[in-house]
Amino acid sequence: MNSLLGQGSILIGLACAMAGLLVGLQAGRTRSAVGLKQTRGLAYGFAWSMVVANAVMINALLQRDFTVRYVDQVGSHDVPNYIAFVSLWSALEGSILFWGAILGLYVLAFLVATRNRHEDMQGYTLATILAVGAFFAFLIAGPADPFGAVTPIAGKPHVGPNPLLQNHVLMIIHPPMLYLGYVGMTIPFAMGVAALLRGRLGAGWMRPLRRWMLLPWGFLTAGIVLGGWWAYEVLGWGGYWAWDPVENASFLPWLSATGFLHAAQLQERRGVLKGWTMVLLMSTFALTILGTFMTRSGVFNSVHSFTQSPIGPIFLVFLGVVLVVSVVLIGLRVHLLEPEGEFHSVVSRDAMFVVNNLLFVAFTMTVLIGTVFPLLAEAIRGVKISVGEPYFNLLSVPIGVAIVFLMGVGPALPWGRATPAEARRALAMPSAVGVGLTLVAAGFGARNFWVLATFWTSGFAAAVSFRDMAAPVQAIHRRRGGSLGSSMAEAYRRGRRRYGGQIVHLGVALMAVSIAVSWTYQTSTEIVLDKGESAVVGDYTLTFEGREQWQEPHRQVVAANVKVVRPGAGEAILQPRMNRYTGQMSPIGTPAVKTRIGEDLYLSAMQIDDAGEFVGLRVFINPMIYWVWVAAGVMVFGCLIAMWPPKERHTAVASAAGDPAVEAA
Amino acid sequence: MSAAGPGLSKQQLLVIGGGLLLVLPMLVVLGMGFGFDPHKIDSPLVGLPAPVFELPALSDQQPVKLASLQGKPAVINFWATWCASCPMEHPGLVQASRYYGEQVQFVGIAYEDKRPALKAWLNRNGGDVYPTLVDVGGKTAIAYGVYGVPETYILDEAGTVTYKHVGPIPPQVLKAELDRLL
Amino acid sequence: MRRPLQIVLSLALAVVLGAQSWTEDRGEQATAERLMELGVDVAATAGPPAGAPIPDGPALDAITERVSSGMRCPVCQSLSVADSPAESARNMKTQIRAMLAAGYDPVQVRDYFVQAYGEFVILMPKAEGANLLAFILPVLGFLVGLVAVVWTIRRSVQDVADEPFEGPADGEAHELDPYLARIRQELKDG
Repeated sequence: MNSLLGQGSILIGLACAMAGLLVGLQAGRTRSAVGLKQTRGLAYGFAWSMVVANAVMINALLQRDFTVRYVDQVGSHDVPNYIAFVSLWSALEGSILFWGAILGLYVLAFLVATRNRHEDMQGYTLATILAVGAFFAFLIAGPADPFGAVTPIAGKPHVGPNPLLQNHVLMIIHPPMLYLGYVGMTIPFAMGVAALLRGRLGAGWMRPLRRWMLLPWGFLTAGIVLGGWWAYEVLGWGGYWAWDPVENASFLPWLSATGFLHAAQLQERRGVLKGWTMVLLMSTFALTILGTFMTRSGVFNSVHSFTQSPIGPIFLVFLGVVLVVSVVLIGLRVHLLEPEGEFHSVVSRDAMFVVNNLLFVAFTMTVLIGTVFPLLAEAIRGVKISVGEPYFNLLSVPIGVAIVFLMGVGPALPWGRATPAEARRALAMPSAVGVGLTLVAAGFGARNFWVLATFWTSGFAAAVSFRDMAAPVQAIHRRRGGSLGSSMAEAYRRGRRRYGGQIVHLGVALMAVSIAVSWTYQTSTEIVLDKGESAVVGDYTLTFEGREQWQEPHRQVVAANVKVVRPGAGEAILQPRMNRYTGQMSPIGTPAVKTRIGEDLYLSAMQIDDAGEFVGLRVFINPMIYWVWVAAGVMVFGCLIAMWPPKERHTAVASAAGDPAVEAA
Repeated sequence: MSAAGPGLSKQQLLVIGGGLLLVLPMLVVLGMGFGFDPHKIDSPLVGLPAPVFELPALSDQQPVKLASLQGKPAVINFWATWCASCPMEHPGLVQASRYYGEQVQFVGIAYEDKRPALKAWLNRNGGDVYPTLVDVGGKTAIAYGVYGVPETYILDEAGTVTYKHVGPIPPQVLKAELDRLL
Repeated sequence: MRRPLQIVLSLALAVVLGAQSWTEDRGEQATAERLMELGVDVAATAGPPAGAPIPDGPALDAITERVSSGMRCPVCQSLSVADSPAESARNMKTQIRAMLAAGYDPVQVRDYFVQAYGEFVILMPKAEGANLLAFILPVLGFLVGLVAVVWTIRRSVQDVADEPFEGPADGEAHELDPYLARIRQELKDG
């Protein structure tokens, strides 16, 4: 029953998508209102059928309906219901089905957001989105079919999804966030394709697109950091980023999207770099497809990747189609992408935006080359090589520091043109703050060059951001008087987008510093403690009190009770664990993490004696790691602010003319 | 679509051509990836002299050197009692060892395992047909570049590694490789 | 559809055994002295040590950490030997430490492991032959981009400079006036 319902839904979705694609193209070409209405109807059909198909699968998983192929693969009676739910995205076929659901949700959001706007580009936009939707629906209907009916074999063990995925609650939010980021890039891509098809690339074509890019950007930021946080809390090696190919796959579209967001701003204000901005837009979407290819093709050696299957080549073909279509479209419209404005000086915010893009693209290329290089090397030399953390750190640290530096220089310089004296004056105070912060860091004992450089650039950039946020408030206050609070509210109301951006910059500066410190100054010690024995690591005295054991529905848990005492603070009991899942031979550990503002104490159990007589522990002290998560929160918060729709709609031109002291949203 | 008359302008062609030039090589490289198995790593030891070792035998604790294997082809099999697929290849190895008798020297090296467990396992599975050595500290496994178990190395009389098999070795493969050397 | 199922389960198992290295020590514990011995094959494979022996202490710890973070754990393949708690990784780390303590330099240690495991085991590609592309391509890309950026901005600035300048000297209000006023205001405020 579930199989039929699911397969039926998907087929309906596929039909709606394919029909919608054709009708949408026609509607776009003829600009017919009726055609657009039909396209919208078909788009609704596609979206709802995807949602329904996922609901059917979730129901089947919860029911443990083993006649459905995917449930047979990842379902289990032994796992709690929330794990059964989460298994929806735990294996390849389910994850593609889930992708379809997210795409459906985005289509619904798009349709609702554009319901009162008759845009002559909407037909083309929907057609493109539905083309992507048709591809995924085709995959779900055919090669990656999770709904196939299977006859259950008596006595076949159903062990549930990969035990690693059952270990932690973060597994519930990380993939959905990531998918909301990845899939969301489809919408702005479609809008870009529509603009190219229509040939409407004049002033302001990009304005609605910006918000549709900010939304998935925010989700992707959250998704990537949640992935790091999950790795940190679950895997037990004390770190949060390993430059694994699949991690890189999620990072690449983020880099490209960030470059795009900046290039789009420049294009909006100055009308320059139109072609380049379009290239970035197409690349961002292409990188999401590349990312999903990397995860699912089985071509890359990664612990995340799913197995090699026939859908790998299909994804590659789709990626090829996306890239070739993008290149051809941009090429055919290249004469419409001529710049409308110009650069007046190298010493200007305009030029800094361009350098920003250069750095982001350099970063993207580096990560891409590093990730793909083992394939290239094997093709040329026939030898398998690794490109790992040392390579990526070597190349990305300088680029990252340069980006943070630019994050300060850019907003500090005015638009258009600045004399060297004006530039010096703009950069003086932030430089001093940067130096101050560096001295503070050195005072705490930091001597590593790149760590100090990060402190300098982050302090510099943060100072610029704070000043940039305060200046309009001061200007309004000076002009209007009244309370400081009302000036702040007014400045915020007029410059919401700018405030959002500056908050994101602050988040980035904080993250840069936190990453630099937590990575460079992590300490790791291996100790073996007998029962009752203590050891001192850093500020902490650790005592092994004993072993505990209990049974959960899907696993048996063995925990070591370790008392942690810090002078001046109380004592706490940390429980690093080993989990033995039914059907797995080796146990999987869960570390115990005591998070403090300044540092984390992180305990991994290497070995817990069966009699509880001793425990082997790895003790990590990770300074400032808490701030990495906080910084990500700040970035997402800033993104929300930048995205928030204003209550009154006033155009940029009107408010600029009305109040030259404040840059309009 | 193009502004000036039929056909593509030079600028359009340049952009399309340049774009494809950047994009197509990457697709080709990714496509070539399908020909490779990312988890299969060829051993660099093939063709080189086998690394020397001196390990205690499980049965009598007496040290066994690599040198003692020379003069005949040898099969070195890394295995463990906790390894799920090792029991699959064990009967084949035992049978081959009996079949080749004095012609080929078989040796098992226990990887990350403990003596009592090894003894018990061997007792349950046909006993000590050929020597099993215990690699305490894992240094021999490192010398041979063992990524996991089971892995089997085949040496010729001179002690050069001729073949490495990752995973349980099928009897046909074993026979083919040994027949080649004899 | 049985085979993919098996493959997925095997992969899950491989992931469990590989990525998640929470295995208790399966092997026998060797004595501390035995662990610090080099294997009998090292001298034959790696030759004589190039440098002086390093005594036990923070210096040896630091260099062991550095060398082992450049090597891939063969079992849990996304982690370095320094980070991985797997038994194989810890054995490798011990061997690295023993070799460094005996006076082998990091390059010799690296080459020893490469001869056993293949180039796959080192995390930074050896900078020779075709591997150099991994370093050249990003740098080349950056330089090309830099040239493009400089050229684009310069050319645009040049175009602007070449245009006859109709400035406020004419007495007309210029569209940039409010912007210029704002800049001056902000610079004064900032």
